[in-house]
Amino acid sequence: MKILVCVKRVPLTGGKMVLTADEQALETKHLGFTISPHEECGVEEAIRLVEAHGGESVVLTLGPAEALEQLRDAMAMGISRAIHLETDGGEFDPEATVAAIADAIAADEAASGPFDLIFLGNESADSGGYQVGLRLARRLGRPCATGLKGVVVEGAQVRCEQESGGGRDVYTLPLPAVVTVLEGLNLPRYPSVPGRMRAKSKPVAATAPDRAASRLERVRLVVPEGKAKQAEVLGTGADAAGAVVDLLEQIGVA
Amino acid sequence: MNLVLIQPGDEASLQAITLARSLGGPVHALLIGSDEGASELAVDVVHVARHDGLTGFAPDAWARITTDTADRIGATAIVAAGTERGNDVMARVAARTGQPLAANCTSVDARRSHRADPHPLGRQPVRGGPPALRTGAADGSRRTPWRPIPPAPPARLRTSQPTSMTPISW
Repeated sequence: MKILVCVKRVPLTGGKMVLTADEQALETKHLGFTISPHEECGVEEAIRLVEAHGGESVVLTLGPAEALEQLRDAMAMGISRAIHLETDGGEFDPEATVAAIADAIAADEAASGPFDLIFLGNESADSGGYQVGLRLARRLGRPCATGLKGVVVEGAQVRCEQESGGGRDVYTLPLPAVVTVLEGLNLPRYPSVPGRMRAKSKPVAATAPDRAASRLERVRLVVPEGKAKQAEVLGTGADAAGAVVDLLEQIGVA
Repeated sequence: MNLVLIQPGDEASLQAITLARSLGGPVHALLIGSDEGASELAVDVVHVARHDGLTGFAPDAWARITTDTADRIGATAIVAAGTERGNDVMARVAARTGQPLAANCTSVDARRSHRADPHPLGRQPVRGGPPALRTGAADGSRRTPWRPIPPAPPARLRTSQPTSMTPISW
């Protein structure tokens, strides 16, 4: 099998969000980056499928030069090689993203044969557009199932399981196909030290795609006002005792 | 004219109707497979697509029916609730029609435009962490930032203006 996984470099968030001065992006000076979690499961699934059926797995990303870090991470897990569509950091809207990825797929397939299966995340962890996988499938003329928690290759078709209302919807798609997956599909492996060493020498094909004009443009980001929890200092040492007693009586525990 | 794809039993679909109303013009609703609840929708026209094969959720079929209905009535915007199924169908619709898609909008404002051909400006919550908000113009024009608008309340049944239904067969 020949399998492609498309991944996106996203910031590791979890604390307070700070925007850049132009309100166009998150301030990432103090943030780490990772592969979008849904796509990390896609990477793991591609590796497992190649281990089971043989063949080759390829990881692709559209992103700045720094996104090479995420490609190396995927190759450290076991992906065979990488395609880096290197940008200047400017935003590609979903349609521009699909155009760039589809061109890269066409070039790779012309050189080394068609991909049997293409994995994407159901939605990216940052912009959450919910459409790149389906647009890509439409452009490639291949069937697509989304939001998958189960992917099983059975001969010339793939069985796709999607959680729905407490049960599972099951789709069967003929290969080649495009699938978008969700976190929980599997438990991604942690890259081993030898894996990381091998990843440094695996091939990365880098190109700079043209950016099509955006039709879905981000005007600005806004961080909504949160209800910040503040600590009130009642005093220090023995002088604080009175205030502490008053507070305990106020909240009914004394 | 705006078309709202209704997902049966989904409260968010009623909010989608309210959002579609805010865009201006008549609002049509599309039900696929069943007309259950059609009379309770606060819209101008209800379209019902019936077919023996439409007993379950079939995303490609739903997308094709939605696209064909939008073409038939000349819809300028297609709206659906941002559920898993709604996002799936809408992405297929966007791919079929070659139109941009703003997913999971919490509000849309069609009035804030400095161009002669107004396009909606939507707010999208950004996923993966504390909620930040994203505003996006669907036509690529740069706009002045705008103030957050509270989420629209659910649409209510209008008993004074009964809805009409247009059956569609495939």
